[in-house]
Amino acid sequence: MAVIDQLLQQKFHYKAFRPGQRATLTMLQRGQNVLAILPTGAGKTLIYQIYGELIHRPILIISPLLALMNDQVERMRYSGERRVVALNSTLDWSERQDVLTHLNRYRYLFVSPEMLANPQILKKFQKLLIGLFVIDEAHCISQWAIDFRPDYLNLAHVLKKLGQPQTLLLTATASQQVRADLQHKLRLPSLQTVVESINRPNIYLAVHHFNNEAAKQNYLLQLLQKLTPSSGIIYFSSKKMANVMATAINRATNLATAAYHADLSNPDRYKIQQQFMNNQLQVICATTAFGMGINKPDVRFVIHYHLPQDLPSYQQEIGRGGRDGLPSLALLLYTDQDANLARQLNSLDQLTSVDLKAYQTKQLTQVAPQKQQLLRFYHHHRVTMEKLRIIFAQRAQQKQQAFQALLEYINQTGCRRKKLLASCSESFDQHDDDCCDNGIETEINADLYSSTSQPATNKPIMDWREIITKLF
Amino acid sequence: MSNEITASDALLLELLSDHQPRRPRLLVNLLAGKKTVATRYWGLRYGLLGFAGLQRYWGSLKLDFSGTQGQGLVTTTSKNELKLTKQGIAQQRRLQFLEPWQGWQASFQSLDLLHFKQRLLLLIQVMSERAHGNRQYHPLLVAGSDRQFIKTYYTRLVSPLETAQQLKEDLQKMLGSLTTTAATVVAEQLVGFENNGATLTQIAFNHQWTDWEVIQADLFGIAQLAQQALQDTSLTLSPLLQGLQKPIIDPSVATTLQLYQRFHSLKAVQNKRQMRPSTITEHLLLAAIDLPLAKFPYHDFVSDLQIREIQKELGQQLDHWRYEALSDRFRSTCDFWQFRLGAIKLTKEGQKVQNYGSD
Repeated sequence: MAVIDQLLQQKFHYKAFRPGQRATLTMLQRGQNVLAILPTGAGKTLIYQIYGELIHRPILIISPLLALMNDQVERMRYSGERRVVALNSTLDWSERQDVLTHLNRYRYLFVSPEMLANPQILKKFQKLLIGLFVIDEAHCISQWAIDFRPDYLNLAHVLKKLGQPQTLLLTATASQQVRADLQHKLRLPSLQTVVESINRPNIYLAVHHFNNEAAKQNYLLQLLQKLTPSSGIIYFSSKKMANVMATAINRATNLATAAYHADLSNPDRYKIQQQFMNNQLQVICATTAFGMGINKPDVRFVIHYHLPQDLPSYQQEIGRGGRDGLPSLALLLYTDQDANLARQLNSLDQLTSVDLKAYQTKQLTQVAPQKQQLLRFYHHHRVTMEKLRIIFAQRAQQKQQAFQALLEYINQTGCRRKKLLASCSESFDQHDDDCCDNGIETEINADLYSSTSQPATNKPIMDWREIITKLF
Repeated sequence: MSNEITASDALLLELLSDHQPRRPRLLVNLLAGKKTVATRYWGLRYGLLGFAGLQRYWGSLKLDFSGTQGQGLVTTTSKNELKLTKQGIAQQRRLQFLEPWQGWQASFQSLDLLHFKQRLLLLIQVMSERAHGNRQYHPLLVAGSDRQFIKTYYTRLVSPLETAQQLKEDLQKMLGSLTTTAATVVAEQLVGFENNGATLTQIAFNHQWTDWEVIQADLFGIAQLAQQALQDTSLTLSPLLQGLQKPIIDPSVATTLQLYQRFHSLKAVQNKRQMRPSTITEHLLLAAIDLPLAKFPYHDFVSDLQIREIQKELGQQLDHWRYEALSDRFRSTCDFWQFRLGAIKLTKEGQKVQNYGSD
């Protein structure tokens, strides 16, 4: 039995590898840099966990979101791995110093790209003999670097500073264009690619159009009543709307529902996540803050109340459904106003004449705080204004194309899966009745997505004395 | 749905008055805990210093100025200040009712209740899981410093099981001294063995209470527990307050005042501290705002006679006082900061304002 199989079974207690895991590990064992494009829920974390056990050297994981980092660290700790830490803003100064002083204590170190932009921190990592440099959710380099998280652009420099360690890029969504972009931005020598189909055939794709917001809300409430008692996620692009609809669903249905977004305190995020995992909650009304790293197998439906950012993001978000392989529903609810809202949100990322003037005159305090940070990055890297204008114009064009592709998916007259997978450069030609609505709005067969798990029941209200007694 | 009083609306009503127009930006800055002289001074004038910094504790609860105006509860003056209407004051009275929840402000200003609560929740989770012999669970996500604090607390325990039992008894005693609503709100948030706890929103929904009632009951309950833990050091929760007591005034401000009291010369303080004169006088104003009347040397900077003369020139309405409106003769002998100091003294004498955490 190969060592990786032994580790899989004896240390991690899995019977067999999932598609793509073995191929990726084999390439890593050969010392190659690898881009692994594996479907959502394919067990990407396990790849670097096993590799860490093989090479007995630190694994540095670049992770885009605080919540995702914390989830992964907690999951690894829960499964018995103690040598894991997330170096992020949840650590106070003294803890951070302690971690940085004893980096060699850890086998798995999670950091954000922004953290590595700090020269002092990078210097500490330079002293480590990093065994593997992992970029989780690697598509973020292409999706966010230009106009949102510029420190992703710095990763090639970071790799160089770290002595060009072996690198693993992990993602569930990367078109040919994104793959080329990753190669270009990271300048990795001989990047090998493992591509598994990202198609999730058990997820039924559908879109429903509405004339107005009220009609959309009514439909959603009616549908949810039919989907009882399944678990599901409803995505919103606004925190306020997530709150409003969570309250409305609680009032109008017997589905236990909660909102989840960046405004929640850490303990509240924990509670909602655990309640959802334990089927105390059936529905989460979330912004995209919820999802990356959530591994609940029996999510039966993912509904988008507002538009996703683009088709690759949609592919990623609906991938949180049906991880147990059973039928699950991906439904997008659409009104024409949603497109306007999305256009408005996209336009916020573009540079205005005021931004450009502030850049030229170096008076960055005149622009919005988030843009200040962005422009400072470009200023620090001595990007001329003309070059900056071109970079952002190209990015705006890319976004426009991506948005157009999303609208085409919504107004698709044929197989939606074909369109969705094409956005990730995957062809598909096996449409059947279980695939999608084929561009024709049909009633959702809620029975198909009924849960096999125990229905959530609202726990009876206990007297506070009883709560204390049960706790101890 | 639009006519409902949300927690944001209720908070705004709580912060407004029907006779004193209040500036929205100042209210936002006050809740955010900004410590500029303007924010603290107007916080004092509005009698709202007890709310300073609450935004951090409340997190997602933010002031919303549109809802209440749409409902005719609040009106805007020509200077863009806000005032309660008759309906607004009636609604405010309806909201101030429910439970005797006064008293939390002093606790909030003298103790870091946010971290106390995080430590409390995590400690109870750890002890609950221990009491049931469960070693594999997801610990509550709290600030790193609080996680470390509880880890240290736990590892130093001689007998965790006995401490768990003691903690249970302490909690029963401590919660028993609260109102039923506050005890319920605190207890239902707790996380532990086979209990994921509830968020405040969930508690409000389950009991059919308003979000505002629950938010108040939580703060009141946590403040009460912290006070009990402060007063009775034998309680298992008492060590959780370690390092969480807040000074009455900022340490840098205190240093400036101490130096002044030693040298009785602003110039000397300025030289010692290597600060601009305006920073020194700002420190003194902040000290005057935060300290009890008797603990600040007002007479060294502005005499009662000067204050009476200002009153003569500008009238009794302190909120309308403008330094620029003073006569040239007066302005040549009294700087802006001394003028402001006079207003602070009069405010304190008039309001008999509480100095949270002092004495």
